[in-house]
Amino acid sequence: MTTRREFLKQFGAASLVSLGATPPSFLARAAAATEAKPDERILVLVQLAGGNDGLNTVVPFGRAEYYKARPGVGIGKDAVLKLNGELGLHPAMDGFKKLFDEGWLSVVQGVGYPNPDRSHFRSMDIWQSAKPEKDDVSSGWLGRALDSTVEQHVGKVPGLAFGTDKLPLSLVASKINVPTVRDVKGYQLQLGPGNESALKTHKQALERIASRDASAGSDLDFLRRTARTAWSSAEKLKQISASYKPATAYPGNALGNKLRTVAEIISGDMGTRMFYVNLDGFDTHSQQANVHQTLLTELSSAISAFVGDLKGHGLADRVMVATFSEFGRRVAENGSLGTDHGAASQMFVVSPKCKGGVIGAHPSLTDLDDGDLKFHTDFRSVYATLLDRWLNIPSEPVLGGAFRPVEFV
Amino acid sequence: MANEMQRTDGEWSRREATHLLWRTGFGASTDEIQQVTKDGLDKTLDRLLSPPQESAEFTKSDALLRQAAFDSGNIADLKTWWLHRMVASANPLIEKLTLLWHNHFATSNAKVDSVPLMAAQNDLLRRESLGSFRPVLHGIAKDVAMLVWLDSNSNRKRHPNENFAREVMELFSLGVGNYSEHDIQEAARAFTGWHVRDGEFWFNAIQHDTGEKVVFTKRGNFDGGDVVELCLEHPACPRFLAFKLLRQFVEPSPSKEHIDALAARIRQHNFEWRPILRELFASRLFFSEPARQSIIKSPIELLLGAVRQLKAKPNLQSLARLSAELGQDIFEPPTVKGWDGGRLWISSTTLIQRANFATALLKSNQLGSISFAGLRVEDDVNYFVELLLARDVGPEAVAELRQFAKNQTGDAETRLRSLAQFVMQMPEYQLT
Amino acid sequence: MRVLGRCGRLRGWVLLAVVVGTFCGFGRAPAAHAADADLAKSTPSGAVFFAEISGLDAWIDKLQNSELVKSLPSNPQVQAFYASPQGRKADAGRKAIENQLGMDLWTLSKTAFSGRVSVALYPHEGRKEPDAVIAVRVKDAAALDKIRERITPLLTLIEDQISQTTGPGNVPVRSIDGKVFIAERDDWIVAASTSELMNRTLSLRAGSDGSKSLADDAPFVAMTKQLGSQHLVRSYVNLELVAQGMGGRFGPEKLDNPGVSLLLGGLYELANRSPFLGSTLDLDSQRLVFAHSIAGKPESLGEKYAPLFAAADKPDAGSLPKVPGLIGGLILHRDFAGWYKRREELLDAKVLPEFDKFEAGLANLLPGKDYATDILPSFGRNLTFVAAPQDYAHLNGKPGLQLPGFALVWDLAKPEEGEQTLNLLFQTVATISNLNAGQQGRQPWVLSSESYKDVQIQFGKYSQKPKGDRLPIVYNFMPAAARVRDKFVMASSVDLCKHLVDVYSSPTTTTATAKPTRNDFLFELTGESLANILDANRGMLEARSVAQEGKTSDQAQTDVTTLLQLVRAVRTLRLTTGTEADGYRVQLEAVWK
Repeated sequence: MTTRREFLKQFGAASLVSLGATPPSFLARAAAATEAKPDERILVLVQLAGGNDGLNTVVPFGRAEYYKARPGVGIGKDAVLKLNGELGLHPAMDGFKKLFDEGWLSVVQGVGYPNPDRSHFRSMDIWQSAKPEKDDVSSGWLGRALDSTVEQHVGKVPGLAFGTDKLPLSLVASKINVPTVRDVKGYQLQLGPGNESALKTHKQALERIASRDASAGSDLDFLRRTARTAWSSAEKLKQISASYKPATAYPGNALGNKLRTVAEIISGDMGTRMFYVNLDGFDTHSQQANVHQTLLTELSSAISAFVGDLKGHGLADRVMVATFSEFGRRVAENGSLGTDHGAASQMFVVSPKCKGGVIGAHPSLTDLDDGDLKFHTDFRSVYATLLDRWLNIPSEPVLGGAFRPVEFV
Repeated sequence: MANEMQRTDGEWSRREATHLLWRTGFGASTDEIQQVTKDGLDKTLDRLLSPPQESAEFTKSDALLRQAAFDSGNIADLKTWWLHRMVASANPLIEKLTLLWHNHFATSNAKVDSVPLMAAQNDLLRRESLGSFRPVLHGIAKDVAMLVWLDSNSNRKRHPNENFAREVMELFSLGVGNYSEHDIQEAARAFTGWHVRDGEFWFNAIQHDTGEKVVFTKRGNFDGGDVVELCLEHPACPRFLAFKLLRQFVEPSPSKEHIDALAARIRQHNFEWRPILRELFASRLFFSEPARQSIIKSPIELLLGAVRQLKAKPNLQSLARLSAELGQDIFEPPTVKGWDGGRLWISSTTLIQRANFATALLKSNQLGSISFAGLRVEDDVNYFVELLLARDVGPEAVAELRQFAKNQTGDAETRLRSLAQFVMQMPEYQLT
Repeated sequence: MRVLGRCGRLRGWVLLAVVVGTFCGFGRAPAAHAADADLAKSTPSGAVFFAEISGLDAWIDKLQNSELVKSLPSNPQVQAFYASPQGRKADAGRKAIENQLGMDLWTLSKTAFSGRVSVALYPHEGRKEPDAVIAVRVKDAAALDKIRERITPLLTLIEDQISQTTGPGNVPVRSIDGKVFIAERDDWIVAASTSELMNRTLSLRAGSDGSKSLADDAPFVAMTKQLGSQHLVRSYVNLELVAQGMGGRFGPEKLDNPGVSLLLGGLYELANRSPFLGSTLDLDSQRLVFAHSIAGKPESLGEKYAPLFAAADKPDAGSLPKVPGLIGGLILHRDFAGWYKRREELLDAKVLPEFDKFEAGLANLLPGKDYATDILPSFGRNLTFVAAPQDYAHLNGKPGLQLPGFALVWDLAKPEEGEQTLNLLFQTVATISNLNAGQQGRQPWVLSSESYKDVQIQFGKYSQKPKGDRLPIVYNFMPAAARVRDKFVMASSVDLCKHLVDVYSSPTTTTATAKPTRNDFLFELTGESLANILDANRGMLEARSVAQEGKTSDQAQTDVTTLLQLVRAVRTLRLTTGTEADGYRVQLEAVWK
């Protein structure tokens, strides 16, 4: 570790000299990289929309009941990437296997909630609002977490939903407007055609006008502050995006592209603490083998490239990735080589700062709840752990109660 | 404090005229401002509250756009129909009020999925915009789009669904803290059997709970209409509406005194909007210093305001999309709570997009066409500051603007466009 | 120049006149030669782009005397333009020039385009802008002379910026500020951006040394052989030079978009190997043909590209079925199964997983079938899409937005198997849309069937006809399907399905002999029918114009009327691509009334 830090410092210092007074901030930070302060930690939430088949993602190959319930779609014992004597990852997830071996991947088993709902919409609302008991979809759990720390985020972009058209419920807040960004291009100040120096003059004049004092706390003051931060962070992001060199090659898939931009934004340091990205298509009712393989390839390759990239930029220690899906699928396969809506499933947590390994027992394959796995870990326990132990945001007010932490951080 | 509702005796100038036009409509061009400055407050309020006939051209275009939306069944076409009304109607106050009530009774086509139903609800809100709140609240309880939106068909005698009963108290008439959970449970029973069948309201007698209910400590064999009446009679109702009105028309965070003062007038006039609005728009409060330039423009106000200020020929479809990107997707509000507005409109992303809007409008043809060809002004900086900001911006900003104007090259049209663009990118432009 | 500097407003017009004047020269140099060859022969070798217009004057004359131009002064939009400040300026400028030249702009342009006009571009080392040579040769030297006389006085105004030398063949060359070089003789004028290009051009004209012309460049020779030189407009791009500039190819060998690969993959690969791209535009009184050609035969690309072209020994795309009121349609002629089988050779590896997703998705519609083994091989090479008027026999009224009836026609290599698959698809799709109808509170349909000309037609039917003047858009569709001989028809209208049965039940006349053009794609529109369907929906078009362009309803009405007149004037518009004797051709043909 010492050598690495020394190297970074030397490298950073050399670059600072060669690049002049304004070094790209990721270099500067890499040079200073030590422990991330709790309020610099970042959560990247990946939604697996459609209901991921958890049983074919982390395969209980050691249990005969698995193969009995899934004669057609079951994954063979020899094909799985073994995590231990009875569990193995889907063969498409070699990226995750490597992360697991490094101790960067936690597999949290048996996550769900009481009286599971098997409608995509309702169950997704439950996961995102984190209020299974109430039909209250006016805010999301991350949104409430941002609301409860609103004073930390003045002038920043604390949350960002990426590549979606509509703001996901998870990030709906009442005190903060979380932007959804389709791409970095939309986040640039456009001044129109004209020669560069004229546009620069235009921008500088705007900045001077927005830098004047207004009475503290007034809307005008708020607008001027936000404008200044926005313009300067857009400029910064543009520079970083133009010069950004991923430390690892991203796969060409959609999730990889989104996460690459997330990495750019993290390196641009815009105060964003929560990112939300979506991977759709998990509703595998029939002939699921190929589709599921493709989706898990995308998931595993994109996330491992992402954390590899962050590591290369000295940022991995600040970031935790968590995946969730509205439900798992039934234990028994259906008649068309697919699986139907189920209940409990696993969540993945990826970070050099997580404890790694398989957390919790695999739910029983025989003691079922109407054909579905029974949960033993409430999803809000996972949320509480992410909030309390990672983001350093007290979870009780956000989740409306105390939930037993899960030992992955 | 009650004298805040008394009639203003302050100055009447261009600035007051601009203030009135912006708050009661969607921005104003120089001609409109001049006319209202000349007409004075009373004549203008007469016109706003006793709306003149629409022009033949407007009526024709309006019918064309509405029919197109019904024919295509595409909600995007209904959005442009409404935007056209906001931009071109001779009665912008009516559209502004309709938008206020759309936000109040926020219903989204994302679930309703029907152009005719969304249009019917919009018609109801518009019809009573200068009338009374009573028929609106009664109407909305039987409005098909609302019934679909709040799952009323699942409100059955043995399994009451509290959705509508909760919203009618929490969001439509009283506000949180003015009712108990028990009130909601009882009210839900009164609304059982208020269903939709074949796209119309249907009283499903078999599913209606005819038993006795207790709502707000009153006991009776109530049905839905009775509960609506009980809400209207509740002392919190005028206060809740006063809050909504003040937030829309006067100030972002209304004080308790202001709310009480306006609520008293609402009760006095028995929810009749015309006299209430007349008093409000002529009040000291409305023209008071703290009320001026105190509201952050909603995306619709920002976009349509610019179009009307600069007399652009807009591409309404693009503007509807842009407004949605900026957070205000009419006919598709995010939740039943509607848009909170105020500072929540502003994030660094939306503020950049708002600045980029000025560029798109003035430096490209993506959003519509503009021409300054006929414009003859002595002092272009002063002209745009008055038209676009209508406030004192301070000597440094004026100096900065003069310098910017001097730096511009190209023909007169290009220079005027650059200057207007620049003024619209000043943070001040976000306020009205 | 001081005078010009002061009168800023006039300056632009005077300079324009001066440039035209400089073209025409101070006086006449003695005539040299006047061969009527194309201008490529006197254009220096090595051009990356060359375009030549010949005989445009006849068309300018026709345009001048056309109804359209005659009606312009009474057009309200034209009147509005002339009333605007820009319009007034433009009109004043036109008058100033016409006065100075002593002829109207029509005559001026007819004179300039009476012979041939050419533009050639040359890459300039280390600079983005290319060098250029522009040449004009007129028919009537006297007319050019007249323009010269009128302009000469203006030239004295910029005397100090003009220098004069003598080029090859003793032709005087004038240069303005060393940036433009101009030389002329009695019936021709040449302008070049460098003196070197000017000298090479003049040498070619004088025939003084053996320097090479564009007409000697191998790609140009090949193009002329393939396309001839007698066209109203022809242009040439040296693809070899362009590809060199892009590092040898226009793009990667394996495309990363399956749709593009299937549609344009063959053309793209041929273009990568063709030395030239030649384009021609020809006009006669009723027809416009705009064609692009490249060299090379599909066979030269090897087996893996064969599925993307029409084979020499099999029927090609043929023509659209002539159903009553045909609005238009397209035929895609491909060996779909062959392309699908070779996708790993043709496509970038990163898109291949998408096929798996696609196959899995398809499995929902066609359970128990494998796409590559069971489904594709039963199809033939033509996939036809037809649009024709919808009949509303299934309704008691009409929808508010009237869509045309659509039909998809598959050629079947194995008719029985193909029919089975497509029937299954038809019924699954019909069931899914019925489920949707149920969810949205619309009336579902029941599937029924009838025998028509010995063909069994399956179709949807409402048990109670939906009633209304302006029904929702979804009521445009009434599914129908049938197999006729080796074709399977799936249509959104029972009527259209029957018309297609009529067309396909008589034996086709297409023979298997190779034609000069083996078409692999055809797209066709009929103006009149298209205008009818647009007219039925004109309210929608007018609404678009009001909503998107800020027009008044009256303006919108006028605009739509004009649009419909234009569309009606087009008899047919046809786009084809296909293999020819020497190369490959993309052709757009418009025929009007």
